[in-house]
Amino acid sequence: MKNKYNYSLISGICITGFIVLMTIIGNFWTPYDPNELNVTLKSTAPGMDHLMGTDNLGRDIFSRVMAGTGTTLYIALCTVFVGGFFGTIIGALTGYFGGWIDEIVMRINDIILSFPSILLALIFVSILGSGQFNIILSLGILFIPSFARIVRSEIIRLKNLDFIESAKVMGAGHLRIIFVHMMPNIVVSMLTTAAIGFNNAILAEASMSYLGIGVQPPDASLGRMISQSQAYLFNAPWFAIFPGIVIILTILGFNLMSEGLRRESM
Amino acid sequence: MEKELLEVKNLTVSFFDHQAPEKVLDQVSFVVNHGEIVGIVGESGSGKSMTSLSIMGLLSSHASISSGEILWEGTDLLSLKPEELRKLKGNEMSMIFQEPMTSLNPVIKIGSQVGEVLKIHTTMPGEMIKSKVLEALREVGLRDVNTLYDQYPHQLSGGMRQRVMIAMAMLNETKLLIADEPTTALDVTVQSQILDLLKKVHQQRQTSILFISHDLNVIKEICQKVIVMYEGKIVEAGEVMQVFNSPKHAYTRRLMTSLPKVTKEIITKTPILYIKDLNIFYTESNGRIGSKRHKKHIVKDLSLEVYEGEILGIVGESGSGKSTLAKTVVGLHSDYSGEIKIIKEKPSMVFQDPYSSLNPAKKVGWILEEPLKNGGIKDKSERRRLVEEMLSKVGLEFSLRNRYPRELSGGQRQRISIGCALINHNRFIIADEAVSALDVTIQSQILNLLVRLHSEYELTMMFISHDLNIVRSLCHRVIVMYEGEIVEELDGKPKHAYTQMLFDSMLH
Amino acid sequence: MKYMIKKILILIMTLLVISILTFVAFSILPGDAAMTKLGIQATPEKVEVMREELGLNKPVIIRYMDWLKGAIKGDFGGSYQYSNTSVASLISERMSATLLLAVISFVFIFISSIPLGLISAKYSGKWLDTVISQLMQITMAIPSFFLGIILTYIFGLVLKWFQPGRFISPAEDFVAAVKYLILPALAVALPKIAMVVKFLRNSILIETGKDYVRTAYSKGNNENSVLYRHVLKNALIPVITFAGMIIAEILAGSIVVEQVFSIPGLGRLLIMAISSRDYPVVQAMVTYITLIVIIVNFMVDMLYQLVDPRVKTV
Repeated sequence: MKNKYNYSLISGICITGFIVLMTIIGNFWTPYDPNELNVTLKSTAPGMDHLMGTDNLGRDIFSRVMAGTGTTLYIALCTVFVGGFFGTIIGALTGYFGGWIDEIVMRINDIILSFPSILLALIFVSILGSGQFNIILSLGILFIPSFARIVRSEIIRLKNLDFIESAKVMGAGHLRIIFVHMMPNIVVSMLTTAAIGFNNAILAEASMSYLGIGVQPPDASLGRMISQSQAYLFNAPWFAIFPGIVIILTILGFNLMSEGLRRESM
Repeated sequence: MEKELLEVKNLTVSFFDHQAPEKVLDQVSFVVNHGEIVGIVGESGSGKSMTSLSIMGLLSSHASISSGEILWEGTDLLSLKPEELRKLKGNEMSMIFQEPMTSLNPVIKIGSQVGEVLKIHTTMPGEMIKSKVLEALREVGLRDVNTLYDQYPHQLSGGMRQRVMIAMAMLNETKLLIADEPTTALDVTVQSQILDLLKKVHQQRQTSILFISHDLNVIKEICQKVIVMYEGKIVEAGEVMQVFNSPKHAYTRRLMTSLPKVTKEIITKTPILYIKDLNIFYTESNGRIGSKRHKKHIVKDLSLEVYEGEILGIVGESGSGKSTLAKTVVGLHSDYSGEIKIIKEKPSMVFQDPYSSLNPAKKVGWILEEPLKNGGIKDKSERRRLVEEMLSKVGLEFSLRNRYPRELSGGQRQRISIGCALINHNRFIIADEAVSALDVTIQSQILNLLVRLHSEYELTMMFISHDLNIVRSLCHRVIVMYEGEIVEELDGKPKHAYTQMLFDSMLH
Repeated sequence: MKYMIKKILILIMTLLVISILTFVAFSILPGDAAMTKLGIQATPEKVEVMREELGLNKPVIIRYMDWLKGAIKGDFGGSYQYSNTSVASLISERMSATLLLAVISFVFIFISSIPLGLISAKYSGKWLDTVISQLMQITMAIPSFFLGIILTYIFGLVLKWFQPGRFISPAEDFVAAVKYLILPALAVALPKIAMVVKFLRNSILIETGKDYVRTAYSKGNNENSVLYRHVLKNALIPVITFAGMIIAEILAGSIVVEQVFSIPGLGRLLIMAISSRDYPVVQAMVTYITLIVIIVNFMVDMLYQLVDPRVKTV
């Protein structure tokens, strides 16, 4: 029973679009300076002046949310690029050529993948120190195995298909076969994996910021806002709720979009 | 007792996807009497499988019966409640399918699966069920039934699994056995064994069989009456010999068309490929570090010469090594010892499966241009011209160059594969089961194309197939392979025992 | 047998390799242990003495071997942050809380995802499935810590059924500890439940489209017998491998959730150790976590071999 409209895709695009729009605008303009303290206004409830209220130091939550989301999205995007780029190369080469290098790399991959990423990220960060760059580095490296695994299994699947053998007979070289013949067939799986990785990165970054091991102040970060808000939960719940909802919407939007895309390609 | 067991009356079934409903069966009507073997023959899209699924109530949720009746001993099955219909399934009417591997549950033991029909339909105690199952397994010619009882499907061969399916289908008092392409996925020699088994079942139990196949020879072998279907409709029906010998409908006539024959004269005997003492190995790796790698000896001490301008047929079943031989000659496989001397040019290849031989992500035009690009032709318009030329040579319109493979039929795709093999002015082609995956009428089209191209461009061809009929009529010389060795070069009557067995299984 | 032994050997090697890697990584770092102990005011001479005491001047390999020798006996050295406290004691104090939390989370996941997955697949396409799937979709998007906070808000502050911050150790009062841990376990479990339900549903639907299901129907089975007698076992097989991953995720989830609910468990210990650069603790925690992950994977692998007859074991 197929619906006429791809509801997942549509709602996904709407939600994600809204979040992305908010972030882009936030880059150039926010209602208030996210870091501006205004002690007299501390912990005011959401209203016309401050759409999402203010936090315990009188900062406008909406502005901070706009800035914080930007940080989160940026980190997630970079993670996906780093992991995707290296993961593709590793996965494609090991899958195509096989051999003992493939076995070793896959073994390492499996080990990394059997650990929950947050754990490894924490350890990385404890070694390298916190800060945006290190987080991107850690999460990016941790994303490589999942990407490599997917790309590798697709390459292996394609390797034995007749059209690839045919290409070999007709004289195409290895690199040409991998990148010109095989890649276009893998794009969909890669995008799906990228979407999953994107979401995991958002969750990881938010969790790490919550734990205090993420981006450092005074940069706004959704996770840390929620962490700071806990003490004021009873009096000023909006302090915690809005950043949380934004995180949920971001992840949800992306999930819906990637599911919608998958349905389209079937 | 009424003579009629099953009467299908004006059955119309439509298929619903997201687009408009499509009729897959249109006013289908026929009768199966008690103790009769009726065949339904047709190609893909004819509706023959749909008919059998409708009778058994196994249609998917996408398909629905718009009108008609299915009378079982007088009662309309379509008017029955699901519970009532279920009492018949696996009991008085049962079905066996084409792929015995996937048709059996991989995680349940054989004995348990087979016995399930008794469990569902009778109140027999477990011990009695087990003994009945063992007996049935013996009846269908299986040995070591006690061990078999506790085994899993993947531990059995294809032929054994199909026997298990038959045992399972006949365990109760089955009046009608529907067999949907039961031998298509099996080797030729196993095929005839299964057909013999079905004949035995029919004789002993007087069970009616509705036998569905695309293979005319099989239908001729086992059926008394035959129904010919085309695009959801019955185009002809009657006694088998009558329909086969004097077909009335144009389509039936097309089905019965004889295969193309080649004039058997070759002028020169210039070798274009010289193989001596070839041994080909295949290493299976287990995927684990340090595990033992099995080295299989696929082709043993093979010597062969291919002469310019001939069509050389290589016939054998799966496991004979014919495909591995082809792949090695063409350069796809390098683990071999012995001599392969290519005298004029390297051969190009046409593969079996039209659905995987073209890159699904690329347009037809791009696919045809690839060999040209690799051959060094840098001028785009020159390539375009060659592609246009080739498309017409293989009988396709130029507009197809902008389509994706998934938009084309199996026959069209094979034409493109042939085009790719010839576009660089190659004169030596290896066709590895190039028509085996196609419908019968399309098969003869493609074979005719190959014959035409062969004479027009003075090609040399190695034609590999398991189908002895095609090979004998198409090829100048025929070589028979069995378990990696050349068993005989066919010259009139078969001399070797294996070739004789192939002949006997060929059924005509 | 040979297969199992080989596997175990590989696992032990993995454990060793990881512990070596982390050890070496920590020793390269700036941020001297001696300085941490003595404080920033310490004079360079005092730092040198402390370094000698702590054995920080020995080559890395020797230091690792010393550590390894101790580790095998269960002695992971002394904490940098809490002087006079052994790492081992810190860990054993907090283990029970985390363990209990993990077990309760796992129970939640197990008892709810299988029925939900089954129902969702059985009524696939109908409103019940749509409702369940949408709910799962949303739940998956909620980070555990935020879920914890919302639960605290609703059940703690609004309904007042729950008092945040009042954790009682299971040694003192087992029942009260379990009661306290219900909400945290929910925070950990709910997103995982969503994942498993989705996975199981897909697995069942995939199996339902296979040929052997058609055969089962042709034998006269009704929908329920096909689902329970034929499909379920096949569908659960891939879920087993997924389950291994879930257990690892529960560990990760508890790290964050312990922070939310102020539970004195291993997760909180790890965070504190990381922020204060208490490397012996981090090193020991890494070793433990690796051990757990390895054991879980091993068990999942064995279970898989047992359940799927197509997989060949020795």
